[in-house]
Amino acid sequence: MTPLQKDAMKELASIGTGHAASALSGLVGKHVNMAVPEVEQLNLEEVASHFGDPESPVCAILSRCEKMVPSNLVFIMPEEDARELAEEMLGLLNVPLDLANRAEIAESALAEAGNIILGAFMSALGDMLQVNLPLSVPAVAHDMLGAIMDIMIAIFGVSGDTAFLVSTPLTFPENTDRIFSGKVLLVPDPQALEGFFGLLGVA
Amino acid sequence: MKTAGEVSTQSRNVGMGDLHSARPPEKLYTLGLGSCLALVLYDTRAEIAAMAHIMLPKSPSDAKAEKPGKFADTAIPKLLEVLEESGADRRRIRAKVAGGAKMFNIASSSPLMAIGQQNIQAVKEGLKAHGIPLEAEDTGGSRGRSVTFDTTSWTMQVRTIGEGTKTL
Repeated sequence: MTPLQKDAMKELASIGTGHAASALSGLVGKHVNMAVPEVEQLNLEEVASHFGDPESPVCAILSRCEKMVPSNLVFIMPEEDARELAEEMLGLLNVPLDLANRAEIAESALAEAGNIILGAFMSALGDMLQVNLPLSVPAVAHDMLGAIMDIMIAIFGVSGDTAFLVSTPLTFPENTDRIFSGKVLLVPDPQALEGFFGLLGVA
Repeated sequence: MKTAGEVSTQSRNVGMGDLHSARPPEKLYTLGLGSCLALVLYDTRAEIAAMAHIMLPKSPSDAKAEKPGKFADTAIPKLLEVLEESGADRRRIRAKVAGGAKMFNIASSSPLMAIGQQNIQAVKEGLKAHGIPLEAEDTGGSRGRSVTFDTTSWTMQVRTIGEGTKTL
């Protein structure tokens, strides 16, 4: 990958995550800060530990785009942050604390959050690239970080020993007690990179 | 979890696509397996075990040979080679395997989203083709696993979030 291609991918992720951040902000009624996207090319065996303890519990919402630039799009956060996000959403909806199926509602709130955040990301990319990039219905998983990353990494294993992804951290600056640390990951299938470069005019 | 007196060389992490062997009292482990598999072949008499952290069922024909542990079809012959070089007898070699979960229940036309199941199938077919009995397995499902193989008891400990630890 050339420096120009790397910058183009960064820019793309920056625009996508900007839209994702405002979508998240709208959901919880709070300001959301976005860091500068990081374009990462990692050896397969170091991917999991790069993002933290491979056994740490995380919540990940994954959606897939199969058109033009086949990619996985993931909103990933520590499990406690996912609970916090769900609580914020349920609070705004005035869902009673003692409601019997509250956990179930929290779960669909997370899926919906993922849907909105990832949808905002991908439609911003589509607008910029002037193509339609439909996303699949998102799937939510709560599990170990390493296990969640496996499937994304396996896709790269077919063609090589390195994985490529763009990661952008999101935080709520108003929360002072603890820092919310969600990340939007764009993980293009290996063959999709050329597609991105073509559409970006940096092939 | 490490205890104070434990020497680090007694536990060896088998990273993605890696393959390592161990002798008693060493342990082989791998953390946070999703669709990947931890396949262990061992010979208790020769006191040798080896673990492969398998990512994919089949190697592409142009695959670089330096990571045979990455694919089921190259990992099994390599594990056998490593064990036999360490004095194992093919007739005594047994296998245990864990992993191959489907982490996301997602509708996708990409066969890669169901890679866990393909990994399990490839390992089972490979073991059968080489005549290696599969002693125990904890495969499939939708939970991630951490796997440790203990060469003193020749058992595999499988940890999940929410379901605790089971011993194979």
